[in-house]
Amino acid sequence: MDITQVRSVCTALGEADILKALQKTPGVQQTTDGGSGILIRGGGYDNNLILIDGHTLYNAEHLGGFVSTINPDMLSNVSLYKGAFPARYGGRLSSVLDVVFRPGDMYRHHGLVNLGILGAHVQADGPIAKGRTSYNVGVRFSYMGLTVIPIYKLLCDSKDAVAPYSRMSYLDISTKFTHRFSGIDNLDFLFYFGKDNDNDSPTKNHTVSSIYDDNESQSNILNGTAKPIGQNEYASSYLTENRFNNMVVGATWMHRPSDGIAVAAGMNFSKYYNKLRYTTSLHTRTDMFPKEIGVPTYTRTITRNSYLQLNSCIEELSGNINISRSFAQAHNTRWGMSLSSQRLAPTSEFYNYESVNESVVTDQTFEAKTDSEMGDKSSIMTLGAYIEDDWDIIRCLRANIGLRYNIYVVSDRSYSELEPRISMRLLLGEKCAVKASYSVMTQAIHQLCSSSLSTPSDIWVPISEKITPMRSVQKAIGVAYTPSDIFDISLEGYYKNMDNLLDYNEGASFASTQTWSSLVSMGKGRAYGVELMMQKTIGTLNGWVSYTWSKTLRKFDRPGEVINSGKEYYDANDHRNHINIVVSYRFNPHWDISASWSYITGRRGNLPTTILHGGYPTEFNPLSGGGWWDHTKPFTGFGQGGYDNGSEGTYIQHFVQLTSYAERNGCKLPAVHHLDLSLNYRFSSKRKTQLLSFGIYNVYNRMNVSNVYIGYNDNDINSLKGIDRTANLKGICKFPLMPSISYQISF
Amino acid sequence: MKRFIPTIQIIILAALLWGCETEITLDGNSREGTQIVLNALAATDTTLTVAATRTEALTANSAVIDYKFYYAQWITNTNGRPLNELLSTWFGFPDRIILKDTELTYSINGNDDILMAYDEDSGFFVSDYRPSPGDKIRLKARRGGSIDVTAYATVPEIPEIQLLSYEKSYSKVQFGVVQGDPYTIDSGGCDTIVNMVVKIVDKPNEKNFYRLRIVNSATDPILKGISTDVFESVDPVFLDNQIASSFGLWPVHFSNVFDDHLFDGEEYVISLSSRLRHGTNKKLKVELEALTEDYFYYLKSVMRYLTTNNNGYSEPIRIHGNTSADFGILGAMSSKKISIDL
Repeated sequence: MDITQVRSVCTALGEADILKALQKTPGVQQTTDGGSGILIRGGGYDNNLILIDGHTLYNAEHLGGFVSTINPDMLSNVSLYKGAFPARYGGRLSSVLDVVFRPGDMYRHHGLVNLGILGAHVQADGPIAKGRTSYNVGVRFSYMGLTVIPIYKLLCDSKDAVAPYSRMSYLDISTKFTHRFSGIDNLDFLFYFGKDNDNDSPTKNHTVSSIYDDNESQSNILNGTAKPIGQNEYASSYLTENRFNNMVVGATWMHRPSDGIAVAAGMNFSKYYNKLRYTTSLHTRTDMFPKEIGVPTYTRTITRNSYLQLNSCIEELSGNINISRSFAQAHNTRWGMSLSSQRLAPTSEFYNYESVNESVVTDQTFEAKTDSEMGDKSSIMTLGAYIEDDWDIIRCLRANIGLRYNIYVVSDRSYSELEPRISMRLLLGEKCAVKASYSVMTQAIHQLCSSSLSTPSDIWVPISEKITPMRSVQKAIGVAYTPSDIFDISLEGYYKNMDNLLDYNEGASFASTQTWSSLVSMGKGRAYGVELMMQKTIGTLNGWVSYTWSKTLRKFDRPGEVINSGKEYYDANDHRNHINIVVSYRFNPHWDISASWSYITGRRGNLPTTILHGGYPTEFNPLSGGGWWDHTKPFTGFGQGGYDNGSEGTYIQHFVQLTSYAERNGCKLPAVHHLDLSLNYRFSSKRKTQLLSFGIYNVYNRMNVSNVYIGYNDNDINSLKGIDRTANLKGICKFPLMPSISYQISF
Repeated sequence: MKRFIPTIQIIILAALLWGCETEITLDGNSREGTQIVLNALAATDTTLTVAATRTEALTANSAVIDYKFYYAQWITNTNGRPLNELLSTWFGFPDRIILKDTELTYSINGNDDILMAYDEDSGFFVSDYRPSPGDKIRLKARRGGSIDVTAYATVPEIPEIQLLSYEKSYSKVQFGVVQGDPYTIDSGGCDTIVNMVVKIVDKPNEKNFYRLRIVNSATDPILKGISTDVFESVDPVFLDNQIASSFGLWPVHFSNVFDDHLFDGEEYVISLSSRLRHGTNKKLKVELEALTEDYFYYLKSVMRYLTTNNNGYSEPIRIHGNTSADFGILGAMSSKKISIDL
C-alpha cells in the first residue's frame, strides 16, 4: 500500500492513518470501532510484528486508537504479510507489518505542515551534507487543550469534570538520518518517540433521594404530598487514566560489495511502557428521620476509595545481520541471524479503603484497608537463525522456501522451535495465478487481555518455565484473476491452528494479590476464513470492495487449565463478517472525493447479566466465612445438605444466588457500520502545494458501541422511593457523526 | 492558527451534541428472565429432589446484586426456622424465584415420566425415587410462559476406595477464642488429629471425576453434634490453580474435587489429615464420590465463584450447566463410605 492509497481512505477526524487504511483490506480487522489496532486471521493484537525500518515497535495506537503511532508523512512503503511469511521474519504468530520510512532528499529541502482537529503534523527532510547525508523528521502533537477543552467547559456544569481531558494528549517524533559512506555502504539511523495521556472516562454522579414508607402510594410520592421518612445521598466518581510511552532507537548498516550481494547489520533498542489506572470513589449516606421528638436521626455513612493500577513495561535490545545473494538467475537466497534480549515487567498495584459509620447504634467507624503491589520482572533471550530462497522453478512456477530456527531462553529453561515456511505461486496463463502457502510461527511474549466488556485491560507478559511459546501453523490457498488491466480480483482461504495460547482463568482478578502467571491458563485455538478482494486501480474512479468471512475459536481443556468447562468457544475477536467498500473519484486536478462504507460483526465478551439460584458444595458452606470456627461446625438443623447432620443423604444447598452468563464470550456487541466521506481540494503553485480536506465520519450517525457498562435509570418510581434503581446496559460510542477539517501545505 | 480555532470548536461542538451513549441489548442475552433453572443432584444415598427457579436479569433488580453475599450467609443460617418462612421475608423470594407451578417430571432408563410433587416446607420438588448406579435420568420441566427444559444424567458406578491405615493423635488447639461469638465452643484443650492413608482404584479407559469428603465428627453436650469436613493433604491431585484464594480453612489452590488425569486406570494412594476440636463418641467417615462430568464442572465453577471477588476487576465466571436452557444442573453421583469409630 502506498501513501496515496492511505490518504484516500476516510478516517475519524480526518487523520490519514496507515493502520486504519489496512483495516479496509480483507483479513484485517479492527480492535474496536475507530481504533487503529489490527487483528489478522484470528490472532490477537499482540500477534502482529510491527517493524519500522526493521526495528520493533510495540504500541501502534495513540489515544486508545484515535490515530496510529506510525506517522504517514514519513512513509516510503508498507508491506503486510498475513500468511506465506518469509523466514527472515519471526517472533509473532499472525502478521508482519514492515514499514519503511522514506530517507530524506539528499539534494533539496522539503517540508509539510498539517493542521487538523485533533492535532498538527510537521515534517521536513533534506540534505545535511549534499549527496552524502540527509534527514527526515516528522513531529505530531495534539492540541485538544485548545480545541476540545473550551467546548467542554461550556457544556459541563462541573469544571472538575473537564480537568482530566486537559491532560488527554499525544506526541510523537519520528526521525531518520541516512549517510552514504560510498557507493556501497549506507548507514540509516532511526529514532522514534511517542507519548500518550489518555484519561478517557471521568464520570461523576451525585444524587439525593427521599425514602418513603413502603405503604405510601405512588401517586402521593409523585405529586409531592407524601412525607419522606428518610433520605439517601449517593456520590460516586470514576476515573480511568491510561499512559503510554514508546521509544525505538536503531541503526542499520548496509553494505553492497557487488551486484547481487547485500549485507545488512542492525542494532536496536525499543521500550514500551503502559500504565492503566482505574480510580473509584464512593460515598453513600442514609438518614432515617425520627418519628418522635428527642430521638436522634439515624445516620449511616459508607465511604470507599480504591484504585487498581496495571503497569506493563518491555525493554528490548537486539542485533541482527542479514545477507542476501543471487545465484544464477533462478535463486535469490537470504540468510541471517538475530539476537535479542527482552525484559518485561508486568506489575499491578491495588489500593482499597472502606469505612462504615453508624450513628445511634454504635457511633463507631469501622475501617478496612488493602494496599498491595504484585508482579515480577523477567527476561527472555532470543536467538534466531534463518535461511530462505526465492526460487524461479520454471517460468510459471515460483516458490519461496525457508526455514527459521529460534531458541528462547528464560531463567531456567530454554525452548527451541523449528519453523518451516513455504509459499508457491503458479501462473495459469497471463491473467490468473494460484497461490498456496504453509507457515509455522512461534512467539515468546503474550499480551493478556481481559474478556470483560466493561473493564478492559492489557498487559504484556513473557513465557516462563511453565508457560511455553505460542505456536501457529497456517495453511492458505488463493487465486488471483486480472480480467483486464484495470481490475484485480483475488480470493483466498486460510486455516490456522494455534497452540499454547494464554487466557485469563474465569474469576481471575486483576486486583488480587497473586502474580499474573497464577491467573492464566494455556490452551489451543483455530481460525479459518475466506477473503475476497475486488479492486480497480486505474482511472479517475477507483477503489475496492473487500469481504471477509472468518471464524475464530479457542479451547482450553488441559487438566487444571480448563476454561468454559473444556468446551470450545468463540474468541472475543471472532468477527464473522467484514465488508469494506472504498471509492474515490477525481473530478479534476483540484477536486477529489472519496467515500467508504464498513461493516463488521460486533466483538464478543463476557458480561454476567443473569442471576440464577444454584447450590454450594457442602464443604464450601458460606457459614464458614473464614473464622476459626470453620474447622469445627455445629449442626444447625438445616436439613438440606448443610453439614454431616446425621443424615446419610448427600445434597447440594439450593437457592444460593449466583450471577452468571450463558456462554463464554456469548455477549456480542451490535455490529459496527458507518459511511465516511471526504472531500479534498488541492491548489498548487510553483513551489508549494496546499490541500484542504473536509470529512464526515459516520455520516448516518450510527451509535457504534465500543464498551458497555451497567448504568441506572434514576427517574423511575423505585428510585423515588429510595428502594431500588432499575439498571440497564449502556453502550459507549466513541465515534458518532464526526465532521472534520484539515489544512496542509507542503513545499 | 487563531483563525482556525473557532471553526474547529464549532465542529467539535456539533459532534459532541450528538451524544456518545446509548442503551443497548446484547446478542446472547435475549432469553434473560424467562428461563427455568433446574438444580438437582441425583445421589445414590438419598431420594431425588429438584429445585425449580427462574433466572433474573441483572438489569432488572440491582439491589439483589449488592446483597448477594449477605443473602447467601443469611439463608444458610436458618437456626431451625422453616426455610419457606425465612425466604418470604427477603425480596418476596419464593413467589418471585421458586417456580412452584412447574410441571416437573423425571424418567428413568427411558420409562414413563413420573410427576414430582412440590413440597411447601422445603421449596423443592420431591420424589421417592432413589437413584442407582447406571440409571439414566431425564428431567423435564414445563411451565406456561417459559421454554421447556430438559436435562440428562447417568448415575456413575460406585467408586472404589480403601482406607489403608489411620492413626489418631492429639495436638494443642491452634485457634484462639472469639469472645461473645455464638459459635465459640471451646477455650482450649487439644484437637484430635487423624492421619490416614487411602487408596483409590480408578477404572481404566474412561475419564472419571471424584470428590473426596473426610468427615470427622463427635457429640457435644451443648451443641449435640459437631463435625469438620475440612482436611489437609499435599497430594498434587488436590492442586487447582484456578481456586484463586483460600475460603474458610480450605487453602488457596486446593480443591477436593478432582479428576483422574494423574492416575488414569491405576491405583492411587493418598495421605490425608483431619482435625477435630473436641467432643465424645468420635467418628471418622471417608467418602469418595464418583461424579458426572457436568457435575464436576459445576462444582468447580461454583468453587471458583466463591473464591473470587466477582467485581469489575475480575474475569466473569460462568456457572456450568447441562440443561437445555443455558443455566441449571442435573448432577449425579454415587459414593462409597467408610466409617470407623475413633
